[in-house]
Amino acid sequence: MSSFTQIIQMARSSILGSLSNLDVVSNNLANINTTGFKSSRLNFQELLDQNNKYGVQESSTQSIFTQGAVNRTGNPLDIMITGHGFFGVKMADGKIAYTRDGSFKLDTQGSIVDGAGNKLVWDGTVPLDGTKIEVNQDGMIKVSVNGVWQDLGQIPLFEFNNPSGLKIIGDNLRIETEESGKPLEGTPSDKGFGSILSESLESSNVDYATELVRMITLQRSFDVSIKNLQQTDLMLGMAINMRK
Amino acid sequence: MIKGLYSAVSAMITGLDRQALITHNAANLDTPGFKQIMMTMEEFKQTGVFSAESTLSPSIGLGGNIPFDENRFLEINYIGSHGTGVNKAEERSHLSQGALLNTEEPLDLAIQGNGYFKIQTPDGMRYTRDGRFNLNANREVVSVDGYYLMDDADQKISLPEGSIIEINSDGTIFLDQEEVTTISVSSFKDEIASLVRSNDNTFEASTAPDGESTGSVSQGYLESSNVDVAQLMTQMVSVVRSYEAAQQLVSIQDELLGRSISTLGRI
Repeated sequence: MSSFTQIIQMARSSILGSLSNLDVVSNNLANINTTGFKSSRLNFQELLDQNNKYGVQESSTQSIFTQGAVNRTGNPLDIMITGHGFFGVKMADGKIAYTRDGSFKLDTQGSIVDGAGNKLVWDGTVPLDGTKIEVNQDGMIKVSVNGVWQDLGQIPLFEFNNPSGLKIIGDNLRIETEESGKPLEGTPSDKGFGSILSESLESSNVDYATELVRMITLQRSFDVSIKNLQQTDLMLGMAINMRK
Repeated sequence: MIKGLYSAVSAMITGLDRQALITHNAANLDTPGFKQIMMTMEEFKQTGVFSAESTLSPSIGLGGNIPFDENRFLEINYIGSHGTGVNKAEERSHLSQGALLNTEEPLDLAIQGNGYFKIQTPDGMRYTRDGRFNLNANREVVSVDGYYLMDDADQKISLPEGSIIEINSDGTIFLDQEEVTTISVSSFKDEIASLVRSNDNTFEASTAPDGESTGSVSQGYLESSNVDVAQLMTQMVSVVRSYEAAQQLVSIQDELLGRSISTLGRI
């Protein structure tokens, strides 16, 4: 037998679920122009236990790792990964974070750093008297000093068994967790890893139409659950007012 | 009088059960692979109605020495039967195909036609139409709840390292063009009889899959929930109205009962 509290809880879980979904969609839309951004999807699952109905639960937030479009910038240290893998950057606390955002620049010590000053994980420094810099498809960094090209070593890429399990820590960075598994290091163009495209940035993979459709459906699901709550309240009122 | 009161209350209780079901279906409007639950109602138990006429004759007075015979005192006549309301009957899952939704995720799968994905849960093997899969930290294919997807040999599917996952319409997985294994797509001859709804968007089978699978697997798609919003809203209106009617019946009977008590009290 069902009870009023149970029904109200069910409607409540669904309403709160729609609101969390709206948060995810809003965050995706807000990052429609963020370099290397990957959209997220909130997965809902039915909550049914031995035929007791509890509505719905949020089971996971999944990152969608489809490739973003190429945005050519002409800047030699703007690099993007086509295919699988992440760049590693060393954060201020010494831990490694992983990102798809390849907008790097040189700092005064000859290190390659991201927008927040985190160093790209890579063995080597760029000689300060270099005049030209290039990154090729295999991630090899080349620099021209007095007209002579030197190889400075390849940029490593990192891949995970379950990239969706990486924890998003903001600033377009992710860190490893138990769910993601250990990072597997490789070089660009290796089996299972993507290759490097220089002078380009990876656009956000957020698809405006998909997000808009998701927004419409979540709005409708929200409306239906609100209606459900109102009607259940109406029924509760009737039960209470049975005796005049 | 009292019997009528119980019938009306039974309609209110069933109304509440129906409302719970509608709310559950509504909450799962966006749950991929969800099959809406339908409820049927049945008549509650019937009771016999009897008339008891007294055949007590004036000649039998106190002190009379007559052997006991209840038939001499009361004659019970069966008049007919009387319903005592409504009760919820079996719940059934509506197994129609949901619309396919394009997601372009390599491990989002949908089955077009009949068939179910087989997943291993802590409670045993379950069948589902929910095709949201992912790789876990050991590169095993798992559902959103972390349960293992089974291949046609009833083994967990673990993908070797590689990048491009392709799954064709019969469920064969290719990793970088190399065949890995085939996903189990199980079908049942009589789905309604074989499948019982289990926890969290899955079904438990009472028989081994015995049907010929005609379903095809679509990679990059999800099957949306088959909850019909228009039907849902109609049901909601009808539930609230029938609840209201039952509530009115209870009120009226209560009023009548009260009136007869006060009238009788006056006599």
